[in-house]
Amino acid sequence: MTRSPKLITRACIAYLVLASHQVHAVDTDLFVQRVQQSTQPLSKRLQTHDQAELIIVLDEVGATAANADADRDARAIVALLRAGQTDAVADHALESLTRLHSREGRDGLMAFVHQRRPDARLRAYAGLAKLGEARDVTAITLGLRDSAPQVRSAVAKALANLPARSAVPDLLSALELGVYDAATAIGKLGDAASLERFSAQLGKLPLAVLLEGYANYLERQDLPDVLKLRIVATLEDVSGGVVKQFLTAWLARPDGPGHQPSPQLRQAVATAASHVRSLPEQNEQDTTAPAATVKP
Amino acid sequence: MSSAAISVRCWFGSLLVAVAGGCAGATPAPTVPVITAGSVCSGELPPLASAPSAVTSKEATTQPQAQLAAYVTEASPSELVVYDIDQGRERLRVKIALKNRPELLDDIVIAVDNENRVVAYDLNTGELRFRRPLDRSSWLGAVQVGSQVVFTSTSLSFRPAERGSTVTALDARVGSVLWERVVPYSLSRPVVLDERVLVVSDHADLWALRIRDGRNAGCATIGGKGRRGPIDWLETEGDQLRVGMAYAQELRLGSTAGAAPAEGAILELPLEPLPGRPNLRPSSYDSVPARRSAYGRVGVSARLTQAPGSAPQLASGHYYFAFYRQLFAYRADGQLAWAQLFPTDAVRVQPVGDAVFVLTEGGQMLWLSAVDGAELTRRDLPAHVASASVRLQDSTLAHQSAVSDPLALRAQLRAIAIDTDARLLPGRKVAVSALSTLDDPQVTRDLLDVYVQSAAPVELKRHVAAVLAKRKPGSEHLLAALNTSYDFLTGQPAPPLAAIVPGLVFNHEARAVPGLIDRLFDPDTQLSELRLVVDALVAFGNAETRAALARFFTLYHADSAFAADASALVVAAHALFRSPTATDKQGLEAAREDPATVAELRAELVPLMAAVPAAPLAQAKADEPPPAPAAALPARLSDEDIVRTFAERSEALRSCLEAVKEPTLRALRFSFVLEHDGTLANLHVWPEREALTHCLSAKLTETRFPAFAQGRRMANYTWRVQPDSPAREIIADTEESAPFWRTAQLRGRMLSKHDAHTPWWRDQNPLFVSVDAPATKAPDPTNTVSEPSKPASDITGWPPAPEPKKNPTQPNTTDNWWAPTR
Repeated sequence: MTRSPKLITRACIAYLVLASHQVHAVDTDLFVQRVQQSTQPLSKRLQTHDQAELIIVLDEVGATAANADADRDARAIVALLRAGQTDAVADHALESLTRLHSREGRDGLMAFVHQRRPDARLRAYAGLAKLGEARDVTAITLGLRDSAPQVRSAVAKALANLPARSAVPDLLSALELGVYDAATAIGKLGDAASLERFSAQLGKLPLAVLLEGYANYLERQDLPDVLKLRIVATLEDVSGGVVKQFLTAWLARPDGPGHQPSPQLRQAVATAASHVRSLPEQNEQDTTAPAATVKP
Repeated sequence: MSSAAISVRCWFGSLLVAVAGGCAGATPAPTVPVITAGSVCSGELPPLASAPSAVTSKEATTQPQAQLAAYVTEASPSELVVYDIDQGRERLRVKIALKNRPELLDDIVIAVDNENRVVAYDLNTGELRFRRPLDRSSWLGAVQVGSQVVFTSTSLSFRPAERGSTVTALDARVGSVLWERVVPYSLSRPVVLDERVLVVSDHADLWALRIRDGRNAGCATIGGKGRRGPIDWLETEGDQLRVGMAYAQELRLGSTAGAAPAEGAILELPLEPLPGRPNLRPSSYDSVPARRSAYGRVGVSARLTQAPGSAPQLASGHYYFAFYRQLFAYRADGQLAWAQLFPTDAVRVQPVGDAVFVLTEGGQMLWLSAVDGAELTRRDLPAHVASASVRLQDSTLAHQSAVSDPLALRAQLRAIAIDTDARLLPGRKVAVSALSTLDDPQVTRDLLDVYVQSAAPVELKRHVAAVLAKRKPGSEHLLAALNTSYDFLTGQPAPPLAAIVPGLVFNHEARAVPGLIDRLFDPDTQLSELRLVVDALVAFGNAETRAALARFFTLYHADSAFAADASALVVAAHALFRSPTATDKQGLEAAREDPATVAELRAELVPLMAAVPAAPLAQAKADEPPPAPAAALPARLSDEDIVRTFAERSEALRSCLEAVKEPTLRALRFSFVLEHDGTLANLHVWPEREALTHCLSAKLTETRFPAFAQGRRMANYTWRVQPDSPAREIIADTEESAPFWRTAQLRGRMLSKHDAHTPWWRDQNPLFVSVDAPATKAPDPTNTVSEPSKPASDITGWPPAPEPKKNPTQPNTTDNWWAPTR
């Protein structure tokens, strides 16, 4: 006989009532452990039209660190998605696939990057990025061409954590078209050639956006100091309170795995920070003003 | 009395007679023609006939005249300029604010200024000839014969004394009035023929005046069988008189007095498709303003020639349609020969020789080849022009050689179609229509370019889509466009499927299937276009399209993206159901059972799945007689049809009641939607009994109501199920525009206390009843109600008829309180 999570939940509530004769509140998290002990395969548990029940089951999937049946569960969820679901169930299913981190879920995620709802596409791209497979970089990069701004933004963020050097030209184009989250990814992935195009956005895009990219450029160990010194010189030219604050904060960071500047670079940053003056507010506004004309 | 005295008296008497006679000759007592029985040609006017010894105006003006352009500048203050085209110099420039477009006559240029004064300048010296006030508000135009200028002015007014027209003859040298004719109705601008001034009155009657004294020279009513409606313009060329509207017809005046004018053959050009359905010539009843206006900028121009006894012909085989900055040249059969788009509006278009002359607002004077529109000559005026008149000759300017470009027409039309001037939409549509008739495959690409223009008006897009849907050449461009997709980075928009897909289906372009499937799953395909894609895939129907439709249907049947419009899913469902595979059927059933399925789709699936699958149905239908045409179906389904259908099915429905065995159940209320094909959907039953609803739903989905033509309707039906009470059916139409009082009637009748009394609006005067009883037929005994206190069983019988037993003298069952009392 199969037991549904709803029955288990009701049994637990009944048990609590009997035990304490007083129930103040019911927290579904209390029953997670019991539910996961179900011996039913996920595919069986997903065979219901009860939306709430589906969501509960999907939320449980991948909640624990180890899941021996990740591939089987991923297949079940992909089948569920292909059968057509409501928005809520589909979104939870995509998140479950992301959590499962199973290659079996890749096809399902790949299919949903073309779903009509932007929220579903966003989750599908996030799932693919979480898989972190190099072969998916091209497909994920296509998300920068999506019609929904939230999808473009999410993809730009996701690319920053992937070995996606090939995406840098598209990231630069996206940045020029107002996808501000691309700046971070460019700073992490861009090479020397990309820096010139990136710096060309000074005065066009908000300075704070570009500083995120510069910060990542400066932390890169694979880039030569010459390039970083050029960045520092550029920032010194830009000047202003925001730049001074940025440089000062950079100097204050303790050395560590993500921050190991050479003495020469540190010296250059210190010099630039001392040269840069906190100019009146007008200067700051001038730097960022053109950003308003950029296409969102 | 002496003989001397007698002779003086005789001489004085003769002098008086002579003076009287002379005066009568100089200032004739005007016989104003009156409109009698709809015609200005009353019996007082002599019939119009040709003048046997007339010197034609052509002969009188054979001397060559200089080519001139008289124009009003757009600058402020405006100027009147007369430009000598041959010599390339100005003859006259004077600062003056004009009300009417200037007219070039033989030796003067004449116009009306803003102070409503007629002003004339000498064309040779530039001197002011005269300036005199104009009595009426509108100036229609003038002609010059020798030293006389004859013009028509008119005024519109609610006051009869101020309303009417005046034909005035002035001395062209000093502006003194020679004669004047005043009528209380409208006249056209004058033309000259055989030393007579002709004007049209009432758009039908031709009235002639002698030039020298303004006396009546005749009148003729033109209305032969061949004429195509009223006369809106008249013109003379040599000894030929032409009248017309959208047509042109020659009139030949009778050679003998009393003979009606012979109406010659008619030239009719296909002008109806042109924007505004213009006439062949500007109206002779219109006053043309001097400032910027549509006059001269919009209209047809054609030079007509005529052989005796034949219909007028196009001189160069072409006629021209100007629409602000656009100029279209057509052949006589209506085929477009060429087109041009000018940087500024065309102020004046006039055919001359084998060319067409165009004067633009920017001051360019262009002579274009009539054959292909190639530019023959160009001259520039040093000013921006608001309005202009020109006097042209068939000179060398119109005969320069030009190299024609065989690909020019497509390029010209594309330039016009893609131009974003908001005023030019009608002309752009003309260009699109003309483009679509070209066989060049590249035209399809051009039309798509017009469609995807962000500034293209919706009306133009619709027109482009319509012509692409019927276009054969250039499918490869439709395919290429179909295979593009939205790209944020490159700025590539989503493909214009509304323009692409119908054309692909029209051309049976099976190569489109992969692209269509891509667009089916493309998130940037608009919902409205998705329906087109599904329709196309259904039309191409093969295993590949079927699998795609099944996948699409399954994936999106519960998706909120289709909550607003599920028509694409519905079409897909119908296509899958037509000859379902086991998997398809399973998918359809799963969607029907899924409570999350989009409501619109679910409402379609229930009756669809209950119906016989289309494949067996098609076989069954093959043996049936052909269905009645749609026109034979009623527009809407009536309440009676619904009641009758329920009555026919009552036995089957009662079997469901037996299953419930609920003796307290007195009535059931059904709420449902009826499709135009007679299927029932969205059934709700109150009170809710699961088993009963299930049983009734199954019975009713099998039921076929009469089909009807328009859309679908919602209806309610109440079924009295108690065995001991008579059945009562009430339908409350919630969708049709039922009058509000019907609902009130239905509600009110439930209250029995109202039925006990005669309604307040019913006339209770016994005299009224006995005297004013309308003589109508006797009441149908089947319609009478034996128990007035009970509600009637038929809503159409409300309000209840009066009891016949109580008032046998009142035979009608309706209370005609609104009828007038006698």
